[in-house]
Amino acid sequence: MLSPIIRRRRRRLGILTTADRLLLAFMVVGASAGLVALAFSPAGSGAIIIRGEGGFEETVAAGGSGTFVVPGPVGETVVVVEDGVAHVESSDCRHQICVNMGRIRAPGELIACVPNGVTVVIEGRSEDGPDAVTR
Amino acid sequence: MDATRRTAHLAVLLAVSLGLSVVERAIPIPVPFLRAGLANIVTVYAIITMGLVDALTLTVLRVILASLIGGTFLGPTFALSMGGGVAATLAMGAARAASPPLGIVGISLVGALCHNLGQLIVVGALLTGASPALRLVPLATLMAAGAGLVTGLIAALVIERLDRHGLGGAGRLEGRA
Repeated sequence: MLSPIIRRRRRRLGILTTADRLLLAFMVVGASAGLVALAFSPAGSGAIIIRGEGGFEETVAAGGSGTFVVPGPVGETVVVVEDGVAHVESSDCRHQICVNMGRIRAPGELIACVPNGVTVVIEGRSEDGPDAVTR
Repeated sequence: MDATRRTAHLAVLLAVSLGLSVVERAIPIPVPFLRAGLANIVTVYAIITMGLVDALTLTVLRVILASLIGGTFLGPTFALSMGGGVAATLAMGAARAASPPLGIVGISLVGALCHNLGQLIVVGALLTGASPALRLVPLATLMAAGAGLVTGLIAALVIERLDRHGLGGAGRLEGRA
C-alpha cells in the first residue's frame, strides 16, 4: 500500500531512529544532571547588580533593599529589591517577560528585559565577576 | 525542480512558517525558551526536502518578516531570533548530511538545541556576560529536547502525508535525495 517513493525514502531517512533516541536521552539526562548540579551549588549571599543601557549600573549589597527605575530604549523598567530578593515590578516592554520571570535570590540568577536592555544579576561564584563590591 | 516551481514552494513555506511564528509569539506564556518551536517544523521540512540553501533563505526571510510584523526589526530580540534561527538551520544542514544514522526527529533535535544555545551565545556576548548564560544551558537543553521532539514528529508526519499524496518537496519527487 505504501507508494514506492515512501518505501524508498523510509530506507533512507527514518523518523525516530536509534540514534535519535540516543540523542534525546543524552540531552535529557545531561540537562537534568546539569540542573541538579546547579541546584546543589553553594548558595552564598551575593550582591545584586542592575545594569541598563548607557552605562547605567546600580549595586545592592547582599541582603539589601532598594527600588530602581532603569531607563532604556522602550521606556522604564522598575526593579525592586527586598532583603536580597530582586524582581522586576514593571516595565514598558511589550511582552512583559521580565515581569513574569519572578523573583531571584541565588548567586548567578538573572532577570533580563531584552528590549529595554536591562539586566538584574545576583553576583556569585563566577569566574568573571568580582568577589566583592565596595562602595 | 524548475525555478518557478521552487520559488512557489519557498513562498508557500515562508508563508506557513511566518504564520506559525506570529501565532506562537501571540501566545501569552512568558517562558522565553519556547520561542520559534513551531516555525521550525517548516525549517525541518525544508532541510529534508529542499536542502540547506533554501532552508537558510527561508529562515532568514522568516525572521526578518516576523520582526517587521512584530515591530522588533533590528532590535535585540531580532538578533536573538536571527542568531538562533541561522545556527539551527546550519546545524540541521550538517545533521542532514549525517543522516542515515540520524532520522527526522534527530535532525530536529539538533536544530532545537543549536537554536537555544545560539540564543544563549548571543545573549551572553551582547547582554549579560558568560556566567548567567552558562547557567541557563541545562534548562535550554531540556526545553530543546521537548521542542525538538514535538517539532520533529510533526514535520515527519507532514512529510509522510505529503509524500503519500505525491505532493512532497522538490528533491524527492525528482529523484534527488
